[in-house]
Order: sequence, then structure tokens, then C-alpha cells
Amino acid sequence: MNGPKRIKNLIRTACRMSSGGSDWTAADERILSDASAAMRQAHTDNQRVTRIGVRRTIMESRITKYSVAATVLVAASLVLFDPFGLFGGRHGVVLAEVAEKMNEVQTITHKERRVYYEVGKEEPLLEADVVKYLSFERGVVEQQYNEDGSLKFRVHILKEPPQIILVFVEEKEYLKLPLTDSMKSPRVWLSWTRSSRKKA
Amino acid sequence: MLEDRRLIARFNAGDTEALRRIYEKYKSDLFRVAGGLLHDSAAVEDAVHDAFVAFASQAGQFELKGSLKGYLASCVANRARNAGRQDRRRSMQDSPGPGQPPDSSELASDAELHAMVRAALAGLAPEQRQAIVLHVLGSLPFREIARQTGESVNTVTRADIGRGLRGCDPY
Repeated sequence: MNGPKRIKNLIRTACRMSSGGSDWTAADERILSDASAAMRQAHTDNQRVTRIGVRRTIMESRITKYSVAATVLVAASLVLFDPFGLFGGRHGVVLAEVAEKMNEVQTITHKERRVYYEVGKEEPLLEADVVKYLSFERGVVEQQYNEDGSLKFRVHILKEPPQIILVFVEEKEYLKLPLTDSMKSPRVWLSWTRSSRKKA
Repeated sequence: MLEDRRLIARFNAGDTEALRRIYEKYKSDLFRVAGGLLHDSAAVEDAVHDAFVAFASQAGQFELKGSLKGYLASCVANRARNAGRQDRRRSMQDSPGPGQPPDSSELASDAELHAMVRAALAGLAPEQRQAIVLHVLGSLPFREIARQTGESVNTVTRADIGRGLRGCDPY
């Protein structure tokens, strides 16, 4: 046997101690049990991070961001002007007659077509059909559709508890934000949409 | 290698059976590597435990570069090396060091020979000792050791191991 081989064999024999043979021991159980617990914890944590990542991705989409901004603006104007008396606010004299008529019906469906433009560009970024359901008891549900007619997202603007829930249907994700008087300022919803990545 | 990649995919998906399979497959190598660097069986167990638990905590985002065995063995070796600094000093005090080679004619038994080899191993520079343990006890090829330690195969690892092995020769 040549030198290196002989030394290697010597080392192998000399270090046979604590070599953890093929038998399953209590030490193996302990190691595997702790490792399994660490693995489960890591997996849960990673899933949480992934979910946040998905939400961030959603909010990084230009179209979604503008759509959400538009929706939050609608919600803000509802709180600010409360044209239908949904949120118990005072509405203008001009709208009083309209509001009175609307009080006679409990639920209203409203359809509109939204065209989104980026500043300085002539071509629209997005055109979308929107359907709103206004309930004097519950609040507003707004649904925006893709060009192929599939549902893009749904927004619930609730009276009780006062909050906005954005449901991103394709991504199976949702976001919640409180509907407060502070939303009367466009600056607030603008800063919210800008910082939403952190809040998500 | 392919089996390891499949195991890692299952491991990343949260499959505890895959984790058990990985442990069963490599535990002997890991214990051998730790045993080559530490002399206390409890410390050996702790080194394997800590390295394997640290590996398990990467579930979901672990990326395999090189061989799984090489990765795990290097993790164990690093932990054993850190944990064994004090143990190493103690061993060098208790046993004849590399600077005091005994006369082979005086060897009375295999146990004494093995103690000499262990002492000689303990007397090597930490990096050199780790490379030898990974190569001889962990059965890692030079290339894998170089990959895990970030060193060049020809200029450092091969030469280090060669010199280190000669340093462990009691004859």
C-alpha cells in the first residue's frame, strides 16, 4: 500500500469514534426532530414572504395601481361628498333632490367605461368596463373587467365597518384599508397608493 | 446527484420525508467529518445537529450548488472547527503533538497509533485539517472541497492535503 493510501486508512481507523453508524439512535431522532421543526417553521415563514411578494407584484402593476388609485378616489369622494347619503354625511343642496329620489330605491346599479391615460400620452393605457352596485344599507361594490370580459378586481366600500376591501380576483389576493375622514384629502390616497407596497 | 436534486425539490416544498431521506443518506458522512475534527462525542453530535438544523431552516429557498453531500459536510466541518478550537487546544496538551513524533518502534498498540494520528491531525492548520477530513472522512473529491472552500483545486487543496497527510504519518 502506498504512503497516502496507508495514511488515509490510518486516519479513517483513528477517527472511527463518533462516526454515527447506520443504526438509528436517540441522537438521530433528536437531530431529525429539531430539523423537521425548523423546516416547518421556515416553510411557513417563506410562504408568508411569498404572499407578501405576490401582493407587492400586484401593486407594482401600473394598470392595477391606477385602477386602485381611481377606486380609492371614488371612495374618498364618497366620504367627502357623500352624494347618496350612504355614509351619513351632509350633501350639497344641488344633490339633495337626487338623493331624495335615490332614497326611494335601496340598490342601484351603475355602469361606466373607464379610460386610463398616462400624463403626456395620447394613447390610453387601459380601457375597462366598470359596474357598481350601490346599497344604502351596506355601501358600494365596484367590479372592473378585463377587455375579454373576465373580472379583474372587485372593490367593497363598506359602511360598517368603514373600510375598503380590494379583491384581486386573478391573483386570489386581497387588501384592506380603513375608510376614514382622513381620506377626504386626495393627497392621502395618493400617498397611500405610492406606499402601498410597504403596507401590503 | 439527480436523486439529490429531487430530494431538494421535495424538501423545498416542505416534505419532511425528504428531509429524513437526506439525513439518512448522509448522516454517516457527517458524523465521520465531525468526528475527525472533534474528540468529544457530544460535541460531534452537536456539530451535526446544528449544521443539519441550519440546513433545514432554509427549506423553501435552498439552492443546491455543487453536491449536497459536499455542502452538508462543509457545514458540519465549519461548525466542528469553530466548536473544536478549545477542544483542539486541550487535545494538543494531552497528547503528543506533531512536533514530538514518537519512535514507531515504541508503539505498543493500535490505540496508541491511532492516538498519534489523531494528535497529528489536531496539530495541523485548521484549513488543512478541514480539507483532509472532508477528503478522507467525508469522501469529497478535491474539486468539491475547493468549491465549498472557495479555493483553487491545484494550487491550494491538493497541495494542502498532500502536505497534511505526510504530516499525519507516524512512521
